[in-house]
Parts: sequence; C-alpha cells; structure tokens
Amino acid sequence: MFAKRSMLQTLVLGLSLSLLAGCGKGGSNQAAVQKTKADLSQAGSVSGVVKLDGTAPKSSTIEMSADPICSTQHKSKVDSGEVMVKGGKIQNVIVYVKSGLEALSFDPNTTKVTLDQKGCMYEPHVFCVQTGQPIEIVNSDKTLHNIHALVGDKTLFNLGMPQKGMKLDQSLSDTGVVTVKCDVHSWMKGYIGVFDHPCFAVTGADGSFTIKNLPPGKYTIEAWHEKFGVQDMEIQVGPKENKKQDFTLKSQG
Amino acid sequence: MNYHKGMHWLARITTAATFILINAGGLVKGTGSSLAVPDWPLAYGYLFPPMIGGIRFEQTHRYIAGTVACLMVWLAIWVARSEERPWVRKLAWAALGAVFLQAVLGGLTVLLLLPPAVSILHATVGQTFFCLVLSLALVTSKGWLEAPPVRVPAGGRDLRLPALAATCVIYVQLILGALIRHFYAGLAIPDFPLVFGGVLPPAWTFPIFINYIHRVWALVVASGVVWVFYRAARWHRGLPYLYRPALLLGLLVTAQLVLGACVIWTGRDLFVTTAHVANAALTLGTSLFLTLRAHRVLGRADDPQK
Repeated sequence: MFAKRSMLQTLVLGLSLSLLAGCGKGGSNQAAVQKTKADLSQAGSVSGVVKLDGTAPKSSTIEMSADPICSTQHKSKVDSGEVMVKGGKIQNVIVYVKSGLEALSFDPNTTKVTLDQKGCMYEPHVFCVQTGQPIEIVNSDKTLHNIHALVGDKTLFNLGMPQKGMKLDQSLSDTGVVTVKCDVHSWMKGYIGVFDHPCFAVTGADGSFTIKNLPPGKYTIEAWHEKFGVQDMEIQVGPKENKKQDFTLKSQG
Repeated sequence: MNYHKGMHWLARITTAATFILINAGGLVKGTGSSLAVPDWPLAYGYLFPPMIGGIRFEQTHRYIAGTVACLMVWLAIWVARSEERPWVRKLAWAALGAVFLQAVLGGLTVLLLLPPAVSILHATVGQTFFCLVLSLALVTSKGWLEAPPVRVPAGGRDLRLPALAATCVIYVQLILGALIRHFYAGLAIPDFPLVFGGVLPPAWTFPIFINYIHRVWALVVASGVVWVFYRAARWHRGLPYLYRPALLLGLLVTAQLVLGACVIWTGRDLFVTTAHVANAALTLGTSLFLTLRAHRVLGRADDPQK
C-alpha cells in the first residue's frame, strides 16, 4: 500500500511539476568530455594505512529512547561509529582517486551493494559505489525508517520504509560523498562515496586500504573521514606497480 | 452592524491555533524533521503513523494544520451566513483560500524534497494566513464595532502611515528570515553584533548576503517601530486602544532583536530559534493589529461615513 503513490499524490505532483517547470533547476550545461576506455593491462595499485595524528576523541554514544523498538535491540550503550580508531589507525576512511582519471571511462559496476537498517543503525556505516551502481536498501527493523540521501543541503531522495523486510533499489548519479540519514531516528547517519570510476576503497579496522586496477599515471589521492577531515596526496603509479602511500589525518579534539 | 459573539470567538480560536501551528512548523524545521514523513497527505501510508522520532514533530504539525483548516472552513461558512459587511466576507474567503494554498504548499515541499522556493513560500503564506485570520478576529470584535472615531490632536501627527510602514517592513523581515532558514544561512555570519570581526563581510556568498541583509533590515524594522511608538506615545498616550498595542510592539521588537542575537550566540539553539520564529509572528500580528485599529479610529474621523 505504501509503495504505490496515491492518485491524489500523483495529481499533486503532476500539477506542481508542470507549474514549477519554468523555475525548476536547469539541466547541466557541462560540455561532454571525450573519454577513452581505461586500459587495465598495465594497471597497478595503491595501498597504505590511514593513521591519526593526535589523541582520538571519544566516540559519542547514542540515546535511542525516542523509539523503544530501537532501544530494546541493544543490551548496552551503542557507539555512534563516528570515531573508530585502534592503535592510531582509522577505520571507515574513504580513500579515492580525486583527479587523474578524468579522460578515462570505466565499465559500469552492476554488483548490488546492500545498505541495511539494522538495530536502528546503518550497516555498513561507510561504503563506496560507482555512479549508477545498484544499491539495495533494506529495513531489517520492526520500526519505520526513512532513508534520506543528501549531498550538502541538497536532497537526492527521501523514501519511507515503514515495514520490516522492505527493500528499495536505488542508484546514485551525483559524484561526491552522499550522507544518508533517517529523519525519524536522528542518530542514524551513514556515508556513501560515489565516483564515476572504480578506484576507491574504505579502510578496514586496521586502517588499511588497497585501490586496485589503477592505470599507470599521475594522480591525486584523497582520504576523507567524517570527523577528521581530508588529506590529499600526489602519487605516480608505474606499470603494474603497487604503490605504497600512507595518510595521516589530524584529530580535531 | 451586529456583534456576533460566537463567530468572533471562533475567529479568536482560529488565530490562536494558527499561532501554535506556526510554532509547530518552526519546530519541524528546527529539529530537522521536515522529511521525517516522506509522503503526503498520508504518513507512511497511514492516517495515524507511530509517533516516534522526527515523525512526532512533522505529524503533529500536520494534525494542527488540519485542525486550523477545519476551523477556517467553519469560520468562513459562519461569516458568509452571518456577516453583514461584504468586505469581511471577502476577507474570510481570502483566508480560506490561503489555508488551502498553505496545505498544498506543505504537501509540495515534502513531495518535492524541500525546494527552497516552495519552502519559503510555505513559510510566507503561513504568516500571511495568520495576518488574515487575525484581521478577521479584530474586525468582528465588539471593540472594533463600537470604536468611536478619534481625531489627531491639533498639531499632532497621524499614526496610520507609520503603523502601515512598520507592518510592511516587518513582513519583509519575515521573508528574509524564511530565506535564511531555508538556505541554511543562519550562521553564515558566525558572530554578532560584529560581522566576521568587522562591519562588512570579507567575502559575499549568497548565504552571507541574506544573513547580512536580515541584520541590516532589523535596524530598519527597529527604526520603523520607534517611529510608531514615538507617535503613539506623543499623540495618543491617553488612548489605550492605540497606545497599548504600540507599547507591546516596542517590547516585542526589542525581544526579537535580543532573540536574534541569541540565535547566533547559542549556535542556533532549538528553543531560542523557535522563540525567534514565534516572536516574529507575534510582532507582525501586533503591528498589523495596531495598523488596522489606527485606520479604524483615525480614518473614521476623516470620513464619518465609514
């Protein structure tokens, strides 16, 4: 019942869209860039560790009493997941090629990635996809969530998921780091790195990352973290070279 | 003209409910709950969704809005059937049209994912509807119907133009406030009363520009209200019908300036920001109230046929 738009909703949307067509957002005027297909026969990789300079602030704990269904799923206090640092190594850092790949095109990735709303938290907290890559959003909770995706203040989509087991398929076409949040449960926050190439990674619990299938060339690699900011590094990758590159982000606290 | 007590009290109740609705709307925005209910007019497909998290704020806002709409329908029908003055009947129909427009805008702003133009229009029409229903409550009151004409004392100055001017500049300030809110420019200039430690911003972005204009326009509003209060105190102190709302207006604008500063100093604390929105509605309402009263008594002295 929920998934189908009501007739009234459709009528209102249709009228409004026709009214707002004149003052709606204009289409992109970006000139199309001629791209050549990436040759991966001599591809190398970049790997390293992302470390923290300074003392890791305490990750905040979450108060879930706003929804008893959420609070009863956790026996102890829940960590927000914002600061996952062990032995000075940072988890959940998005490491990606920021520049150097503009002239290349890559095959689209059709592997479905799952974003689960479980225990009123997002699993995974941070992940990356290529533009157009399918994302399956699942509600594993017996409560309702809305999945609200934004880039900055701009909402990409906002969909209600009122039932356990409900699944929605989405894909993202805007590159950048997309924030996903639930307006019902204000503590729920996740991040999706969206890129028009496959040269990205998310650091694991040991802070390590590996970006594979990187054609030889000169690149700017960026490490992004939701709390510790960004760091850019210039690297040169030779044919079939496994380049080592570590990052150090500064503690804000 | 007859005084219809029941109709007048319904107008008062509708006005009060509208004020509560404006506050509820402010809370929706302030708590980030604007999209907590992604569909409209239903909520997750239900009439009565579970009131959890952000849904509490958004759905409560919708329930109050529905109540206000029902009250306005009732009031419009009552006015149409009982009111002798054609212009008051037209005022009631205008208010009814505004409340339905407001409902559609509220739905659109959710369905279209908060486009700033629609959200700002929703905020502005909300304040406009508040003015319309407040006017209805005033013009159906016994005080209005029985108010005697008043001449401006010899050598004195008329209050009507300053009151109208103050109302207009306050209305503009509310629109600027809505622009700030819906373009997330509340802390675009992070300090007060200085601007990045000086008088002018070092750079002009759109959020900084509208934040700066809102501050400058606050001085225009303050000047307008000082003008109103001066004339009321100088020439109409002995007439509570005009002096009291002028005094209240002065107090509300002073409070609004303080609250505006506190919004910055507290980093947009929810309570302070909501109070700033609520006080803005009260300030506009009081200024309009005074303007209408001034026109009622001073205008009739010019033209006894009114």
